[in-house]
Amino acid sequence: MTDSAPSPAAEDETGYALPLGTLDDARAMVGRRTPPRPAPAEVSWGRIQHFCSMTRDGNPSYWDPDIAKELWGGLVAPPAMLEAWLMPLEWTPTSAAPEPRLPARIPLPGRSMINGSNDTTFHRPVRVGDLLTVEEELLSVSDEKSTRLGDGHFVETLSVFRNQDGEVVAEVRNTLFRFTPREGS
Amino acid sequence: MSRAVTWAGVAAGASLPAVVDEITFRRVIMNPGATGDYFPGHYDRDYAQRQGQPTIYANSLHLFGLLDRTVTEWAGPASFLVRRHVRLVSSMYAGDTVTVSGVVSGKREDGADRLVDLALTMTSGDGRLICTAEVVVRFGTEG
Repeated sequence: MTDSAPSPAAEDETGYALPLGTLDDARAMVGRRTPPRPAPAEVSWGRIQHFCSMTRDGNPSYWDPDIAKELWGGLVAPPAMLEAWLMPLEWTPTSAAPEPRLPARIPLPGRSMINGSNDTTFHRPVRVGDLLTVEEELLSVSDEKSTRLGDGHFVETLSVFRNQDGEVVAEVRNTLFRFTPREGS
Repeated sequence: MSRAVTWAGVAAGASLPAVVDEITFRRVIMNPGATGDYFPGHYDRDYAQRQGQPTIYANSLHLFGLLDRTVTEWAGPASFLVRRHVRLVSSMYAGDTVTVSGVVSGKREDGADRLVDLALTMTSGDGRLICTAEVVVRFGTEG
């Protein structure tokens, strides 16, 4: 990254204050791993119920404490919720603007972003009561590409999730498209 | 939940029961509450349209949740998702009725692990491909 902090997008509507910068600014961040970032709170059954209610997922591993205890030693979280446990809160008593996750901190020209691909390997279940941490690394930033939504760059990141015992629960390789929407679309 | 398939009954080329789901505006907006992902494309139609999208769209975690549900409803609650590689082709929009289909692409044993490879696709009611996924699921030790 350059000495001067990248400026947030002038009229940022993403809620992430996406930093603007050049491809070189972005590529200067490749290869550095972020310090471990803890989740704001433990994995909770209430959030699991909320999510499974939305996806209509009746798997008793998420709903039935007795069956879950028999199968997993206790209630577990759906694998799809992995990233949900690390979502930053919008406000806390000690920070009005907690730092966004790495994919929203890459300086690039694009004012918007959308997800492109995700490759997750799960090593062990995430359980109710677990406190996860994540370490992130920027793997690559593509040259400028043109898509149906606009011109921009593909940003590939690696996230390694651990539980409170230091065990790796999952590794995520994600690619998102950071772009400026086409005018008049 | 009744187990839909046993390890012995898994055969390459077999189809999984399809999951069909109606993605209402309400459910798209439940998702930020359930996941904490308040990116405006998931609740603000004006923002989504400025992005070039017709309306608000679900976040990736909602898509993953429907893919995973399709797998574990078939493989049973003792199954464990080992890997899920998703390519997002378009978006799952509020108002879509989506269908998740899956086919067994392989079956193998790795040490004590009994693994099944699956190929999934999610499409909208009007035939738009939303995403494809390659999934590896580990079967439970019984059944």
